[in-house]
Amino acid sequence: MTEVRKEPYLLEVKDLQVSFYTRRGIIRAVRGVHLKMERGETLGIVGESGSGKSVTARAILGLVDLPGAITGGDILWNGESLLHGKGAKARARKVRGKEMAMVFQNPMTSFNPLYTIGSQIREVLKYHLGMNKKQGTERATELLSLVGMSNPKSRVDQYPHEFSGGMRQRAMIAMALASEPKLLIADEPTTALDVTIQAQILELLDDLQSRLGLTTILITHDLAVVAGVCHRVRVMYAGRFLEKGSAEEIFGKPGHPYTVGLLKSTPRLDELVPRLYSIAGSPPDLRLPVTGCTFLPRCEIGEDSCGVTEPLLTGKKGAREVACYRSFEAESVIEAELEAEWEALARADD
Amino acid sequence: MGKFILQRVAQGVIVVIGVVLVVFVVTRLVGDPVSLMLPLEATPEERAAFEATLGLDQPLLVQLGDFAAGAVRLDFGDSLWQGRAAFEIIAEALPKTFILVLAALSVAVVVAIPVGIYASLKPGSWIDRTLVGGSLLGLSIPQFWLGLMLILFFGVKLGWFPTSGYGSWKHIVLPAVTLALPAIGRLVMMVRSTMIDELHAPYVETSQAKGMPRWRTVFMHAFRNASIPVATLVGWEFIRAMAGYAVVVETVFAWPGIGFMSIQAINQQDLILLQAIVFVVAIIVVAINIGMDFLYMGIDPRIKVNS
Repeated sequence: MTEVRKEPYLLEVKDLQVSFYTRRGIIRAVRGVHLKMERGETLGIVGESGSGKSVTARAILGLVDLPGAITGGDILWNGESLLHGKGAKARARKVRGKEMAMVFQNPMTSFNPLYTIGSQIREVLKYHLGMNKKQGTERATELLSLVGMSNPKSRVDQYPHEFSGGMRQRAMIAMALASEPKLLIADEPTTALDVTIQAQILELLDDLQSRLGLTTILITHDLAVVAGVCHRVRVMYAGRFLEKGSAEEIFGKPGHPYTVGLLKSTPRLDELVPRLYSIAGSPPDLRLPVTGCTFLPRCEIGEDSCGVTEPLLTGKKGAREVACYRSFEAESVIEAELEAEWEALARADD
Repeated sequence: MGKFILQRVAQGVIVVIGVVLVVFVVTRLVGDPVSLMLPLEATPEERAAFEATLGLDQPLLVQLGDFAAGAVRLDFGDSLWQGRAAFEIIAEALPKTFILVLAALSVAVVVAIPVGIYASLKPGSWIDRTLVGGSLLGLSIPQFWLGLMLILFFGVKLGWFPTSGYGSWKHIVLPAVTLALPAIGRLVMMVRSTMIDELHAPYVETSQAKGMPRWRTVFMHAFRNASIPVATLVGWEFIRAMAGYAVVVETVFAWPGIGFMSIQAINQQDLILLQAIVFVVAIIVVAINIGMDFLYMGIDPRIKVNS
């Protein structure tokens, strides 16, 4: 991009590195992540467990604790570093929970069981907005009705165990919104919920996002979730992004063999397949040094030459980028393979 | 709620009856109380007379009925050793044990909770390992030996505290410390391990993500959750001190509490007093347990009365 930006990005992550120091070795969980968030947009980060997506989110909020540590890169909030330089720590403390808030994966355990939902929301209101108990209770009730909870007046004095899973996740979102944050990070917000409730929560997030002008990062392993809600999508694997682009681009024409595999392994009702595709193998051990493409051992179209140096994101800067030496080739290969199986099956039937 | 209290009290009564039955049956059927209490050279006539005064010539069930009828009125009969009402002796000794145990446990709780929390914040650090090592040492020291060493050092050598007996506040220091030290060791270990667990709970991360100050996350969130197992152990320590450790410590320091009295009752072969002590201590143990149940309900809203 050649134009000079007048305004800094709301959030900019530069070459973020996070490592975990364990007894069995150093796990390099995040290995150079770049991210720029415009105000009001929704970004989806997709990847399987262990890909580093949750660690990235926690690092942004400053929640990486020992044995983990941010070992490199920078996180800028409104152009100011939250990691380096004078006053960075104080800035990060001020931003955390106030300007950016997080919704966690498991609503069943993410509330403290010993306090009422209202008092846990009030904590946020008291610390970040200086509200007293009465104002806090009023605002908490408003927030609960904002997230679509019926009977918020009595709900506010109830304990987490008196809520269903979906209700708790709604309350979690209400609590995250209490400080009127600019950025909302939702880490697998629907994973622990029933499918019908999942849809409701996603709808709620989508609705709040457009009504409140929130900037949202949605982390998930579920491609269907991303497709419905996100403007831009990143596919994460082994601590790095393998592919980035708009949701339509990535779902319409996946560029990386891993993305293709993820899409093909999602069951669909409108397509007849001989078997549900699955990506063989498992993610690489991030304690070992990386040589070449991290996806190579599981790749359908990989060649020996892929194993020499790790491919970087290439393509149109800021739009479609794929980190693969044979980008956009995998889809047809896998489809042909499935087609052949299909035919073999048909012949066997005859 | 009322139903719950009644239920717990009824259960408690059953426990007390059970304890009394065991004590009653064991002292009367295993061995002969009369030959225990009378000198060897007692004549058969003396024995018969003694049996009659104690009611031991009656059938066992009648004896039991007499004991129960008396116990309800806190009338356990006269101590053979001191010749006055057994309950009077207990009423004098019990508050002294209470004071000692309360002093020891207050010290233990006040010391152990901050130390345990502090150790849990950086598990594996040298401070943590030092504190854990110290706790292990504290809970491993035999109490009678610890008491004797404290007497030797602070009582005899330095002369800071009296070596034994009951009286001024100075008298309570050494026995209370003796009683407290192993309890501190156990409590620190318990507080530390439950806090380490709680600090890894998802709600702690939520609190951090909300931008709450560290102290608030640690005390208001994690420690409140850790306080149920900790309260359980404090209750257990109280019971163990009242009904067990006090016997050792009070004997070492000649502290005229209930533990000291029970040893005396055994030495003097005072069956009446011993029976009364066991009965009263059993009631105290049951009462503490019921109190703990209410404490849990106060801490955790999920623990509800199911009626």
